[in-house]
Amino acid sequence: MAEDSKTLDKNKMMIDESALDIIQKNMKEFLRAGSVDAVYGKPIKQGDTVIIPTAEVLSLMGFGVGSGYGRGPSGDEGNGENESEGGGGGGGGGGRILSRPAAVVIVTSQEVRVEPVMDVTKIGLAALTAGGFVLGMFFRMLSARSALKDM
Amino acid sequence: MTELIRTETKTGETINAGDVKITPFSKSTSILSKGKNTGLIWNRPDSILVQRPDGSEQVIPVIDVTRKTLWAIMGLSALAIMLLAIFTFKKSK
Repeated sequence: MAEDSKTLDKNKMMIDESALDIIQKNMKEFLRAGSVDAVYGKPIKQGDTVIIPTAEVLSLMGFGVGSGYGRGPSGDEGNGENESEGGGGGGGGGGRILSRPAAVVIVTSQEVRVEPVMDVTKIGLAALTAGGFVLGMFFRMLSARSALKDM
Repeated sequence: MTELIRTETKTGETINAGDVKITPFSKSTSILSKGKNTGLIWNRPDSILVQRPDGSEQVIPVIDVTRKTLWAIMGLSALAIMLLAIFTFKKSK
């Protein structure tokens, strides 16, 4: 009986270790997004000029793993012949890395300057969304005002 | 679930660009759950340190114009809604 318990614990530990491996591997990849290398690109040389691209990086991740190991009910006689045991584990997760160019560092023989990169599409879409929201709120306020007048 | 929010400035490896040495700095904000199985990392360029052969040093900030503009749009929208609310309900009195 004590031996069975040891086997059970050993199997459970093996499943837990593989789950931990998965977590550690994914976390390493995830934490790489927080390094300086993720933000500053490799320098590009063009004659005397060196260009270093920079980007804003947003990384999101979530995952979960679970494992279980158990033994089925023993037979009527309790001799352990009908005993069954098994285990399993599983996990799932998801993540996303969003990256957007922020600026470009330009190094020439005369000067070093930072040129911003403007995402016109993103700004345009944000302005349209915000404008629509403000208009929607304004119309709601107008209808609320007329409802107040009717009271 | 306790969350761990941390903002730190990280220094990158110095880049040799001709006679000039450039050291990049980035700002990283991370939100990790206590179990560390969920998280968010927001990493953006902060500034660069320029070291010239004559020994002079200069810190140039890396400004993200797009992000600043987006925040400005959000702020202006909130302000516009507040002003509209004030004027709309002021007239009704």
